[in-house]
Amino acid sequence: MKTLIKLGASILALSVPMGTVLAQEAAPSAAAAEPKVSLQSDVMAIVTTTDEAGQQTTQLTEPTEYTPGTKLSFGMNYTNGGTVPATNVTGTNPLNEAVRLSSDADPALMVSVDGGTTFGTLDTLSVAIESGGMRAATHSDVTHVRWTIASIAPGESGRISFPVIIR
Amino acid sequence: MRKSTQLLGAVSAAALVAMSSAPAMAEGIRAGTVVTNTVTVDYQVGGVDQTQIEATDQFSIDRRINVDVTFAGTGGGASAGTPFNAAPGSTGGPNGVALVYDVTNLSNDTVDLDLNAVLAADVGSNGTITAVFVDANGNGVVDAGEEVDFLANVLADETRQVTVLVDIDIDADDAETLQVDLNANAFVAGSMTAGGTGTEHVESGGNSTDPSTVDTALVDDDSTLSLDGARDGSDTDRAFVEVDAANVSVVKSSLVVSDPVNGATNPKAIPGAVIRYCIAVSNSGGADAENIVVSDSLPGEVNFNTGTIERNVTAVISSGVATCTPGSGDTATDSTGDTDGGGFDGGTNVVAGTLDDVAGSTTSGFMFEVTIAPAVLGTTTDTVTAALDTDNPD
Repeated sequence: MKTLIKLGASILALSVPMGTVLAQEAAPSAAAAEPKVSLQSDVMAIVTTTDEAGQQTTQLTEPTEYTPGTKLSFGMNYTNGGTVPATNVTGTNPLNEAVRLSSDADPALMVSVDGGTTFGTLDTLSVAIESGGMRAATHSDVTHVRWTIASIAPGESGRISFPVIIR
Repeated sequence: MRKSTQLLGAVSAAALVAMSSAPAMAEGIRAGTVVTNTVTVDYQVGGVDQTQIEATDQFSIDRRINVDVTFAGTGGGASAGTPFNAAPGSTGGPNGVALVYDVTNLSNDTVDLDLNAVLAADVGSNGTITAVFVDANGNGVVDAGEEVDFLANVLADETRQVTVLVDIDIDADDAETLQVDLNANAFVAGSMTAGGTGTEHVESGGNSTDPSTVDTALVDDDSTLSLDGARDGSDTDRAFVEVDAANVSVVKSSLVVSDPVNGATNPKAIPGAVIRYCIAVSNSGGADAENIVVSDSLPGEVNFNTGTIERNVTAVISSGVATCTPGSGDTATDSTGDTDGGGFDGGTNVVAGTLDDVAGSTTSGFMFEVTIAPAVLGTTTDTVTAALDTDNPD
């Protein structure tokens, strides 16, 4: 089932450049330069082990358990299979209500706590409380995660990920 | 290949679909919930917006089985240091020891819970578990239809109260202890039938990596009590009961107070001598001895001295001799019909009265005086009885 989803994403990604070509027909350089940004999203388990010396090692493994409290890594691999750079790349990831952002997420991560209307780092955001007024937002308030990449060069690939915990 | 350095701080004003806030779920998302993670990406080529692309990943929440049984503190003690004290003969109906436990389903799925009550310890073998029931009307008595051997369809986070009824035999001795364990074991919801049979939840073998499969994980701790182990889908808690019996002994002694010849100095038990009877009731048990009634049938050789009854006096028993302290208690008139707790019936020649409750490890006395009748020679015998009731210790 998971494989099918990934294939679906790939097919979708393949279809993108074709539309792009049509849209940019007027541009002389565009016909020879097709950006083919493709995505593969995945979910991995974050397993931290401690060896005899007390050294902690964190590994990403194929998850075997999806129970409340389990820590997972929501990741996305991207590749620019085209011949021109893709610029101003912005990925938006609404968080399923079944998970919350883990507290060890990168503090520089751009997040939203209001359903994706406004974004900022978590320490700059606040949420309304019932009794009136505002309180500082916490990791469990996060509704969306957003990341940006200024430019993905042709042939370049990379991975974006953030940790979540099943509620 | 994690490039967190590429998480740049750009802010976009793009409007996105609003989400409802996550509901409060203390024990987590329900098993079987499908979680889809969707990422949308916008990008530009040569400054021109391109068609948005999307990627998704999906998995199902697994079943997390956890059960909690906690003695609710009603009818018993939660630890060996604070046991509930029960009197011997606490049997049946409202007199049996009713131990109440909270049984909570901490799983993220509905389960049936198999119930088993065990006498983990029973010093003296005087305890009997007579019923496990859900006291729907809260009267502490097993009514028709209240007895259960399992709880059906307990929702995630739901707590139900289960009562274990224990009888304490009348022969139980003071300070005998009982430990009563209640175990609740998770079964597949709706699978159990009367008698406690059904499909027990077990850990899924070889955890499936197929994200669409709902595996079962047993995550409970080992309480180290009866029927419980780590990750076995069950929990046990224990209530402590200690038998609290009154252990009453009665000693009656007489003291010659004065005689007509020597007065109060080295008096002899000669006719006309005043004799003080001291009836000491000693309780060496842990419970109060209650409703103590003293009844003393006077021999014909002595005459009751009017106005000498005194109750609840300070008394000691030493070397088998009871000694009362005059003036330390409550006086009672001779009348038998009044409310002062003592009296003398001249028709039957009986002195009778009551004592206040005698607490554990204390002694209380009942005293009165008589005069030896003229022309008596030999031995007089006096019989006293002390009846008491310890059915309801404090």
